Amino acid sequence: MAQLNQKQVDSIYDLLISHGLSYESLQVDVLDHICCMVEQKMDNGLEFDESLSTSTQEFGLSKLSEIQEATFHLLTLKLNKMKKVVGIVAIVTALSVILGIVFKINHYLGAGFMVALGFTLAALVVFPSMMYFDLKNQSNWIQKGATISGYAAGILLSVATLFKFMHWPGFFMLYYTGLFSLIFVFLPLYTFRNYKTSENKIFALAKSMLIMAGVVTIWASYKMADHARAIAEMAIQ
Amino acid sequence: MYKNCMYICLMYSKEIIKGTLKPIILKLLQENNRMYGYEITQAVKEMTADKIKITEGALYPLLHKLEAEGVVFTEKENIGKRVRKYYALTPSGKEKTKELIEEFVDFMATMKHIFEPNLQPGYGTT
Repeated sequence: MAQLNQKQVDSIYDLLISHGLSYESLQVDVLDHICCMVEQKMDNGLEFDESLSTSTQEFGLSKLSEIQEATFHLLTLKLNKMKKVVGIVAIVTALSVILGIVFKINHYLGAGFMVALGFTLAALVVFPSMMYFDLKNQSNWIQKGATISGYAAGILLSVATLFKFMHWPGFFMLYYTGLFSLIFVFLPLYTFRNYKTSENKIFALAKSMLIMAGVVTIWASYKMADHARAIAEMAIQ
Repeated sequence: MYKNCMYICLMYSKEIIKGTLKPIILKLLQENNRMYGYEITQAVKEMTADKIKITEGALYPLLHKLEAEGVVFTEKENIGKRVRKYYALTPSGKEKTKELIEEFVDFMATMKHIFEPNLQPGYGTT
């Protein structure tokens, strides 16, 4: 039985890429499929070039983008429904955090409940499912690492804030683990990936710097809140 | 002849064959443990004496969907200089396949009553 060599397989692969087949998982399937067709024809006595041209004609390379679209369509049907549900939960989450904090500042009733609900939903439902959706579309491991560490930081910081609000112990450990994951895992991976793939390098760096500035702002506001409390306590004494 | 057809075809029209692709693929996987895409198309071609040809355009999107739903799982293996992806039923996929095939067989028996009325009522349903 004929067996294609590396060069022949590569030439078929290049052909698939040039016809717009970009979905990695489908590439494996179609590459093997066409290789099988070619090998079958070579077994019947045809040369490689001739086998390849008849095989691609039978397969119809122009259909590749159609096959890819059909795959995406079938895959996203269910995902889109899930995304809608998660979207609604995310809106509820954001609203309860915002209203909760406004209520808390004004000492209205129900503030604690809303804040607790908001951060619990964010940590248990919204961030994990958003991470799931993002990971589904990513195949590069650096990108996956950035996604996981970024959302893990989001979850840890949400839980930390919840603990802080509820005056539960363990805030510092959660908070600093979250910050660590954000600054030392997410940011380097994100910057590296973005810098490599982006056409505008300066813009890619600027994005990372802005995220860093945001992180520093959050960190500083916690610090300032602690500082203000310390001053207030000293004043009372 | 079947170039413009996205789904399975050749001998039968699209309206008739619609909805049979999934049972066919699941039945094959049930009997063969694990198969790769090209193998599936060849098996169907052979078993139906070329009357049904599954096109790649219908097969791979469906296999990916079944994988996403947890009905099948995949195993990659190096074959020569390329990677081959085998598809096999998951434990829950096996259950679903059994149910679907039972339903499909029952459906075929019902169709027989309608299109071959000279057969005894109840034929094939037991």
